[in-house]
Amino acid sequence: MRLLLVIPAFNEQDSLGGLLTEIKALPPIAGATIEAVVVDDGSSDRTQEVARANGARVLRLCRNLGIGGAVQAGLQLAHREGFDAAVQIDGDGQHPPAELSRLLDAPHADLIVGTRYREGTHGFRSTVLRRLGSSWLRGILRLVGVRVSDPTSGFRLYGPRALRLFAESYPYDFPEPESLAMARAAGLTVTEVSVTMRERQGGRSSISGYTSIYYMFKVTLAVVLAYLRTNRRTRPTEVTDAGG
Amino acid sequence: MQADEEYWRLSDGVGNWVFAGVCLIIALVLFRLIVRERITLQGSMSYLAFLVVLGSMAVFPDATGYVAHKLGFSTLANFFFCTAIAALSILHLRALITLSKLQLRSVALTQELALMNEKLERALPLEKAP
Repeated sequence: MRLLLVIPAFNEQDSLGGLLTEIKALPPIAGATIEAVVVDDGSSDRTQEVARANGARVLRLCRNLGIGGAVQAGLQLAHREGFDAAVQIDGDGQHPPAELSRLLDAPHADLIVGTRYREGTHGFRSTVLRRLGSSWLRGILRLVGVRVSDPTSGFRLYGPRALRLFAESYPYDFPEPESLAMARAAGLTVTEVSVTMRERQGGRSSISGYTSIYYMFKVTLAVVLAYLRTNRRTRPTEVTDAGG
Repeated sequence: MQADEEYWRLSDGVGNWVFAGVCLIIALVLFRLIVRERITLQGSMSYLAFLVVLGSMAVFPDATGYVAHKLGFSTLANFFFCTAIAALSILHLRALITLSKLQLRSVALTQELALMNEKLERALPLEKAP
């Protein structure tokens, strides 16, 4: 299996080196060839140089597109070059590469989401405010038929069908919850597995202060719109629980 | 009190030439921008149409008053404002659609450029090899 690690990064020079070192130190996975691509989302720091110095492929976006545009560029690369799957790992170091095996060991699904909010998981669980926001999004997604415990998780494995869907169309800002609703619209199977996350190793979050209010409003609307689009399609999404 | 048949005569029948002149000046500015290729003719057509409508309303107040009365307006100024607001809303919507298309296209092109650039970077060392 050819696996592409898609690492969106915007001004992540401080955390990226450590993350790529961890990826290089991963024990070989039987039957899997792993490549990493850093999608430099128009950074103004040395993100690109750090990525190249650590042997990663680099997609250099000439202007900042936001997380969705960066992830989609990586997924397009995976789709065009015939990778069997892609795993999204945030460039800020929140997602330990060692947890990759949990995503790979999960039962087959088109989209496998790593969750930090289920029993048996440890490590970083975000702030109370963010967890409240996450609960709200969980409720909204449940209304449209998607049951996941960590809708904002960016630690995900995309199978071939998900690659095909998201290489074609992917939400641009705050994409994670909306993309779950899109997956439902396309009839993809979604699974979640417990993973351990940690605090970001550098840089700063794009969602803070007043942005979080906009985030909640925009994402709620986007999820509802994605649900309305599903009325044109008939295939239901199977959302399964892979344990963890 | 106005006779019923003249109630629609909301104006004094004299054209508002100052207002028409302002419309003409804006239209000339628009033409100048089109000639200098700052804006496109295609994108400016609705704006020009809006100016023609407003200018005509200023030059022919009786006809405007008649239409305003039929639409239920008792003050000509209100009709002007409503027409202007409605027209600007339509123009804004058109601009929003154009901007959204451009934004999506720009994102797609940025991604395509990055993908091609990466492909080129990977291909170049191979070409240099003997």
